[in-house]
Amino acid sequence: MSNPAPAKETVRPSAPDASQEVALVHRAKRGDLAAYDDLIRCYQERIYATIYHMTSNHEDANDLAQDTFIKAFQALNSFKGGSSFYTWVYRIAVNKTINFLKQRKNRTHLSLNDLDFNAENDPDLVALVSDKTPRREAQLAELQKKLNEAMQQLSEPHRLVVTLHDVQGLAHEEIAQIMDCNVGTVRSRLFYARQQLQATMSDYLK
Amino acid sequence: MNPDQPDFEALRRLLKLKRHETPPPRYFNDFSGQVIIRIKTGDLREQDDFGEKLTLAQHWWQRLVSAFRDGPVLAGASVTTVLVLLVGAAMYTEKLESNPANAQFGNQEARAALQSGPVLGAASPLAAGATNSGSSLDGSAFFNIGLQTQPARYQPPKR
Repeated sequence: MSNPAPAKETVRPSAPDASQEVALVHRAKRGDLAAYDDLIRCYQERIYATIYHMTSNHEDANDLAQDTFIKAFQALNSFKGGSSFYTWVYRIAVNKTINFLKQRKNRTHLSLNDLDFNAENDPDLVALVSDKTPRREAQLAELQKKLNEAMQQLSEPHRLVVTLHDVQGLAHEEIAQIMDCNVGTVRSRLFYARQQLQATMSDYLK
Repeated sequence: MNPDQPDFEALRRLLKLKRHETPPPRYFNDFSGQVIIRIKTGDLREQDDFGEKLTLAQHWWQRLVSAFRDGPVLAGASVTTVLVLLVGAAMYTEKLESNPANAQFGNQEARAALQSGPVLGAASPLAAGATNSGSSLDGSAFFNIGLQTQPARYQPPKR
């Protein structure tokens, strides 16, 4: 099984170290909204990205990400520090998203974010589309749409494992904690999900 | 890499594309601010409660509609079941009405109703005709339920 994607390639804002996080959580528990604001800023991009990759819809991701942080604040007193605050918030986000997706069942509406400027220059992506054509951007956009459609065909647990591991670069152990399952389950889900995606996207894989 | 295992390297490169999907510029600048405002105003708690109530209220019929939409076979089977039940109920009712043993059950209800209230039947022209003919109307003959009725005299209105 391959290793997780390098962390430098993922969206990772600077996270506080463990002691800073504990202090921020402690202050937030006492109602210090400035401290909670700091906690949100640390994890907002990762939480948003996870939800976005699960829903393929920017507006839904925005709403669910906000709801996640508000729910976390309301439930902060129940957070006993058994895991990191980050893992705990992730669990809330994942549960909220899966509940949302179950209600939305089969009513997928893609609302995709634009690809950033670096996409056109990413050597791995350049290799996937012809680098001799001026329509590279259009081809990447088409590839993006097909990839998101293929992701939406996966079941929620399989989509989540691919999102957390292959897109966000989390380790199997972290994913197991977030999904409250064992590492073996994470690996088998990842294998199955990749097989499914590979089959769906075979025309675009060189 | 195990040679028996499929090679997912190309797929992993393709999945890198998703890391380039980013929200609009400056999207995160006021994200936390919006969350804090919603916490201060407490609108999520209300919305959440309302949403949960709404979800609960809509839960059963939403699932029903969703199930019908997703499975035409299920919808067809449900409609067929309802039709069969309706036809069955109609046939059963017809059978009840045509069976004399079941008429006895109906008479028990009629007896209870008649005993508890004024005997309207006695004042009816039918009953009155029987009295005028000189024969007394025995309640047991009528509906065969031993009903006690009072003879009534019928006099046509004078004009």
